[in-house]
Amino acid sequence: MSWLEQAFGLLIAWEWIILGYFLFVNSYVAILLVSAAWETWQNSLKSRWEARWRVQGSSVAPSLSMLVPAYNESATILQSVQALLALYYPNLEVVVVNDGSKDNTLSLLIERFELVRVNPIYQQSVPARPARGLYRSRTHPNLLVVDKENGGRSDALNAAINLATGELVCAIDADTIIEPEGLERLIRPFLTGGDIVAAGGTIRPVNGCIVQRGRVVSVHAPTRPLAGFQVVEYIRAFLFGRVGWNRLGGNLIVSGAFGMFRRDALVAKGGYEKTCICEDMEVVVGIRRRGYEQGISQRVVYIPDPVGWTEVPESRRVLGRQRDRWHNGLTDVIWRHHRVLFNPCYGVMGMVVFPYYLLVEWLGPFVEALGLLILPIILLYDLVNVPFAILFFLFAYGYGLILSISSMLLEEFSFHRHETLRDRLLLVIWTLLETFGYRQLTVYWRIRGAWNFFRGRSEWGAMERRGFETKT
Amino acid sequence: MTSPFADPALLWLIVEIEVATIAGALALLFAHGYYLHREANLRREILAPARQLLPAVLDGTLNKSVVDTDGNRRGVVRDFTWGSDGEPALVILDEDSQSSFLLSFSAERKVGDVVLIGASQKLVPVPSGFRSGAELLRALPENLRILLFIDFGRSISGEEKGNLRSLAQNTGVLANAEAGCRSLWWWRRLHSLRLLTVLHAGEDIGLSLLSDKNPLVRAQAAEWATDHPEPEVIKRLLELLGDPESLCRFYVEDSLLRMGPIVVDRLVEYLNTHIGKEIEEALKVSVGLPSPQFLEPALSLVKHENPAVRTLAASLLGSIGGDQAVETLRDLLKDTSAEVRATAASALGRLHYWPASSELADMLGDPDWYVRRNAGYALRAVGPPGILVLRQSTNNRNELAAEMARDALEFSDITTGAQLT
Repeated sequence: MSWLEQAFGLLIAWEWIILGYFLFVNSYVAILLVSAAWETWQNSLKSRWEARWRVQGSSVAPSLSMLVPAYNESATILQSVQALLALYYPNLEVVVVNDGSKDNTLSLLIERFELVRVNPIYQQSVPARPARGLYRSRTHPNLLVVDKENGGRSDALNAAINLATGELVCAIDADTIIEPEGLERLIRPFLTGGDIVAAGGTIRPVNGCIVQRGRVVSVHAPTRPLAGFQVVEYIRAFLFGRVGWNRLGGNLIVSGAFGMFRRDALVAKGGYEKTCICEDMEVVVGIRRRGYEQGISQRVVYIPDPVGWTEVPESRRVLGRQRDRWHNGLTDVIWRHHRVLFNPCYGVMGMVVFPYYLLVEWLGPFVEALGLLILPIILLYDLVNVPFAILFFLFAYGYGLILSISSMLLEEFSFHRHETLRDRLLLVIWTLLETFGYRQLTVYWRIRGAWNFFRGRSEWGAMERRGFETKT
Repeated sequence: MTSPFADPALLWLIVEIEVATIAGALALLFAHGYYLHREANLRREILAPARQLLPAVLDGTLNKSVVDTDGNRRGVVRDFTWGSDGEPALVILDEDSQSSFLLSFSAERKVGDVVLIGASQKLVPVPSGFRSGAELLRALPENLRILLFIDFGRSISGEEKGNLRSLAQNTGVLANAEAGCRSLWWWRRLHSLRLLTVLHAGEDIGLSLLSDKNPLVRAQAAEWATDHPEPEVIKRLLELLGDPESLCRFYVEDSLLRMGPIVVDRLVEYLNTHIGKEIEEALKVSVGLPSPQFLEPALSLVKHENPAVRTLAASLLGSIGGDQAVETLRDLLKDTSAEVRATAASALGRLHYWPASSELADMLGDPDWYVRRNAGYALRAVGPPGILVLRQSTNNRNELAAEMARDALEFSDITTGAQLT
């Protein structure tokens, strides 16, 4: 057999691998979609006409601390904190950590909320850099501000955990806007199940929406393509990705921008891992892993209706850095917890959920890139006929479209946030277009992220904020 | 080995199915948009004016006499409605001519027992095809109708709530909800009970739903029970304190607390007659309703084998106070459970019980951080004797005690003003 025949044989074998992988991934995703539809329907039945004010006004509602790490957030910090203080919840405490900002984040807070220095007694339950100063607001006594040296997001969250007094803690980004009833909705699973240790809410891009006084008053689809593609991605990722996992083994990610935890579970885990740049995933995997190892049921759920709005990058450079970091972090978490993989001791987490993250989320971009690289060779040597290649592309593209449009359907049927025809049309347009160029870019960024991990390069990079009030 | 991509026939079929699916999904997406648009119009035409009109109707405008500013009687308010232009209006019956007229809602002003209108105000005869407010409400899609009653019901009380209930009765909403409570589908029972809860209705059905097989329905029934504090309901609620579902227990505790002192007798009886884990939940409620009647059960429960029960009993004693309570709390400072010791220290501080200062000073060296912290806070709370003990403790040979004493002295927060040292 000549080398050419051997090469052709290899290429044909690769075609089989690609086809098998394609069927495997799509079957996984189809099951997730069905699970998500069922879960969303059940959730909407449970919450319809529910009197959420009962939790607001209840003296038996668990106390809650909002943890807000802030680094150079002067553009948005005042609106964010103001919105948090206006949330309807009894026993609410807001702990803002100024993580060594180089801008005037702290002075803005001191001036606006009339902060005075305090000296509470607290325990260093999880490792964090020492605080330079602690402040409490004269106008809002439930606001505590921690000023500390820069140590990264995980360190800032750990410092906040040490000072938080709530039974539950809710970690959010300083630029996240929580909907007024978001907390009551997110707290519900903790009332429902004693074994629930973490719950995540939906994150939606605020780009394109109208924000007034720290509230999203009108939801619109962005007109800029990069933000538009991300809206579609977020709807898809949160609505069927995460909701689906509720019934198939639980989530491994609670978004760092809006997630709630039992404080004692976080402390028992040792807080956020400072050396991991995907700390929000690492902490959930760590908590769940600990639960399996100690024989305790520790469930993590995702709730679709509490929404946190956040600004997504509109420049290719910043978005690339973000996706690079996400995949870098995913690689890191899989590497740190590789013992969980296909390990029956970790139940459904080890046998179903973790393998999904490895084989679909992590491996996906590599397979896709290889497919794209090999395609011209296959066409050049006439190993596949062109009409068939086009058909296969249509098949793959169509499947992706079905997923995206079904997610949108789920979103609109359940929460119908976009009421104008223009917004719906725009979202459909972004869905149709994201496969051409944007998807390939994300594949490149994700491969770069994994590559950077193996080269030992892990950094956060800065997010450019435009401020909420400019989002029109 | 041949390429898997040899025969396109199957792929063609899949692509065709996909195209059909996408087209169907898009059609659904936009059909749903159209449905929302229609619903938005209905809300604008009926719900928005109803929101403006109903408070006045519920406030007792119906059956009031209409009198103009010259003192002439113009009729009686018999009904309400709103036109296709969205303007809410009252329907006035002229008793002399037995004719009905429409009075623009914006023109009326209720003064005492009469509805006052301008002397020049012309009453428009009711047009043909007139539909009364009740009829229009009945014509609303069920979800909007229920939404309207729930919206209003949550913001009114007393007589207005009774009027809304009558309106719900007249429009068939109440009967539908009561029938829904007997449905085989859990979600129908849940939604119907939610409406009955808002309307303070469903006396016949609510109690039975406290034993529903679905935990969400039981939790909702516990919420419903808040406005029905009858002995049988309280008894059933207390039984639910041992419910396996935490959501049910939450709503039961919440309801009992909202009912207030009326449940104390039953709760005391419950604490005296139960010994299981449900005692914890009952104690949580008791802590929120501090009454001297709880003293006896609390004194007995501090000897319970479960530390969580002892902790709650200590907290309850801290809420009640009195000689027996503080003496027991002093004993609890030596409990084997750190949580109980911490709670006892905290309770003594809350009661400002300075004679326990020396025992609290000993607690500053406790191996558990929370016990040490609570002892420090308690000494701060008892006032000058506590501060003195804290100052002395800074020289304690036990480094843990000395450190906590220093922390407690340096403690300052917004409510405590400047630092002490």
